Amino acid sequence: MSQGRKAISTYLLLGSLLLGTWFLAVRFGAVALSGREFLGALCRAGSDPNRVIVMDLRVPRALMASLVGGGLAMSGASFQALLRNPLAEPYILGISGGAASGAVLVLAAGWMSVTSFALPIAAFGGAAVAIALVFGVALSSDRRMDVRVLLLAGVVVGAFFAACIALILSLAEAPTIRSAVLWMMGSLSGSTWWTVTVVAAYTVPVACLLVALARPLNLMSVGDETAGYLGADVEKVKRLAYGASSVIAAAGVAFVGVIGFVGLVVPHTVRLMTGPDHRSLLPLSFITGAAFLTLADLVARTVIAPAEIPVGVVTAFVGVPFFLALLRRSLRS
Amino acid sequence: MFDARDLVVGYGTARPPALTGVSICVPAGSLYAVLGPNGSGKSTLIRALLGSLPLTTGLVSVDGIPVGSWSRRALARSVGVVTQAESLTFPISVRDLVAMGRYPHLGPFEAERAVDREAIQQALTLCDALHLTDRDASSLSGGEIQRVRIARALAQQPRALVLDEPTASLDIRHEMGILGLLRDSADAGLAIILVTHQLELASQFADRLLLLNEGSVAAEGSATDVLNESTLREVYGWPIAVRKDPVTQRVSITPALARKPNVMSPEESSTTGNK
Amino acid sequence: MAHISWWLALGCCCLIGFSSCSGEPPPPEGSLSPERILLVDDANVEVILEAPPKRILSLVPSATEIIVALGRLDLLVGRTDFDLDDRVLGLPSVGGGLGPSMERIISLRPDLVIRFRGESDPATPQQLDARGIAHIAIRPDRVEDVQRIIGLLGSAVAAPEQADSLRAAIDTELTEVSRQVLGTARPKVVFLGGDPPSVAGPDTFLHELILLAGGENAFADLGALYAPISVEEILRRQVDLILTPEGTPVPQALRRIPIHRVPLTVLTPGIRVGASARILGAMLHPERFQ
Repeated sequence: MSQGRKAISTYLLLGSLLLGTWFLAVRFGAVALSGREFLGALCRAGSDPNRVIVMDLRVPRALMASLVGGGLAMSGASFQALLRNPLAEPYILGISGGAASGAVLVLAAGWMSVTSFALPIAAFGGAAVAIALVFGVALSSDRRMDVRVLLLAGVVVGAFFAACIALILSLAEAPTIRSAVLWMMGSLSGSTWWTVTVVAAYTVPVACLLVALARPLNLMSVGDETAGYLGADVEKVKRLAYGASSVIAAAGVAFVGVIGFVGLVVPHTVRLMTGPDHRSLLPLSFITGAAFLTLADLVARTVIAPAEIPVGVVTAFVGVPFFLALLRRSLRS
Repeated sequence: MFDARDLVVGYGTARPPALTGVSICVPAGSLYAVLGPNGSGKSTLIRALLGSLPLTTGLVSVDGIPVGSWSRRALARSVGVVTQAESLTFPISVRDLVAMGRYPHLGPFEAERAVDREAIQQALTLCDALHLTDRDASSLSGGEIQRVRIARALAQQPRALVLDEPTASLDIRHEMGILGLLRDSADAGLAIILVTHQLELASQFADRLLLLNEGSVAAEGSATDVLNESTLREVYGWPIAVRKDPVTQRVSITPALARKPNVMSPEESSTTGNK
Repeated sequence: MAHISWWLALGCCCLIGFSSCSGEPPPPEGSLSPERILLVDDANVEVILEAPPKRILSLVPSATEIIVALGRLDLLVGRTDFDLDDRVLGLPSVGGGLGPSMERIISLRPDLVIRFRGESDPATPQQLDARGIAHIAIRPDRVEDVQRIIGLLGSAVAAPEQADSLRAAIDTELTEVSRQVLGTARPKVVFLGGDPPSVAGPDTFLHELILLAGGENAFADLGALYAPISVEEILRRQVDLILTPEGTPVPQALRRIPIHRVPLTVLTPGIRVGASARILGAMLHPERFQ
């Protein structure tokens, strides 16, 4: 049937896009390698600098971009369904503010010297505090995760953390401010095989969980009451889906900072192409988000090499016109 | 199929309970109409029967099992529900909307099977919505979307249907079509509960009627039992004439025309006074 | 049974093969080179270099200057975008001193990297450790830091005599400046930078320079290194002189106080400390520096 064939061709198209992006991300970077040097780097073992550049810098970086980009896109799609709001994105419930507060605190207090994981742990912890606050408010009222309560709580908690960050930065030294601002704009430059493994350990199982919740998420898009009558255990789905989406977003933010725009635009783009059924929307959003962020990171680290543009800037500059064009085309048809 | 005894349902201690002492029994193969003025507790009764509201006292069982013991999925396989309204956040095709009716029958990673596609097709046909299959649901008229939602409930292939004012936006042809469909389904063995304002059509299509007033049962039984002038006047606060055509036996309900303002006869003022 | 042992043997061979690919074999015992250098950097980390470094990358511009001044420009293999010295412009750049491009660093194959101490760039030292590239952290904040760093870098490049003479030259110049301002009244000076204006407090390089140049820091009681201060407070303290970098706007209310524009090279501690002190001295006590 045509629907099945269309689905397969979409997967093939986006899958090859992702593979192509991976190739580009590994082939190009701040150091120009000739084709020969590149092939040599792939084949030769040992500590040859070209091999280190390709295998220990570019490959983990591309993988991290894929995991984080895919996770953010999936998380965004899920939040859009749960909150029944097209403007929802992974940071809408204050996660970015909480994570940034944790990170800025560590930077200002100079705890990086304690352990290299101080920054991601603090960022994840801050995100967890934000999540706890928002859901605590939503669960304490009788409403049980009412959408409006969640959105309001998210806005308020986000504003609170923004104030915390402003306070810390106003008292901090210039180097701290610089680090904090750069962190908040997002960067994949610290990606190593070890951090990639940690992020994958979070992202992959949670992404599978979200895909399993695809049909309930479809139901949630038309309303809690109807979803319940069509067989969804609404409160359980909410707990699982909110939890999963928040964990993916928090795990991404913890290691790479706040990369905006991916979680908002990629789900809409995929929805315009293949419709709102989450059984295809979620996996395709993951693939598209992975490709998008990998490509954005490639641009971020090559355009003004050896300096780097923060990747969040690239995602915004590239994503906005592309999405607007797609929107116009779909409105016309 | 549905059996509720002495329901008392409240929305919190501050307000009086929404339902007091309501009992209803809807066996398989019957069409039960629930009537009453606005705020009389019709929607509350529906929610209580479906286990969406906690009961202060009373018992609701569906197919002999207390409603609280049903898993939501199992209940969705047996009971199709059409609520008054729902929201659509994203563009969705009619087919995908109706396909949601098959979800209770599918595991999380299971794809649609032939039997599911047939059920969807059939449901759309019965509701005269087959031509809308590929349309975007948010572009439909009120009546069209209502038929689509009824189709979704039918696609569940349930043993019971609960519908909350399903014909409110429908034109005469479609309204009669849907009611006829419901009547046929009841005759085929479904238990159907229909909340409606249409007193005449309820009397025409339903086996039994339940008339609610301010949370308690005002009348229950066959159309002749329930639809008499004094009961209707008391419940609706408006003089309503009830005539039965001797030949066709069809009941006609005729509310009195609007009265002149500020003129109230003494008897009406005493009955409308105690609210 | 035979199958299992065959697979085990194959597995062992693979493991041995992989592990031997991972790098150079460890040096045999007892061959510690007499050229070994022990450095203790500004973070109090001990770094041992088996041999004098032959390929140095400095991410700190003042360290680059020092190495050039020690006569070992030949050891430098790269620079940052902030190194403005003509002599190093020919070297490939790795980007900023904070957050440099790791790819470029690796391609330059340095055996010693000099970087800023502190939290501004936590990723770079981690990456360098992961590649086994030796690095030392320096923090040229104060005059005494400069002297110590010259000593540290002198040891690193095995040029101790040049280091000593460089330090002596700086000492001499500073002493000369102090002598020239001896006996003058100390004007109250505030160093103003940024917008909204921040002042330099005690424990800063600028505070030290002001003292060396025969002045008094009007904000020697500030609780922080740099802090934004209201214009009213500056007026209240009745400062005699305002020092501000070139290009910084000065608030209207302060324009009646004499303002001296300070060249940007004076602001950062480096080998030009002596010259910087002299420049400031000439601003504070022009009569002594004709």
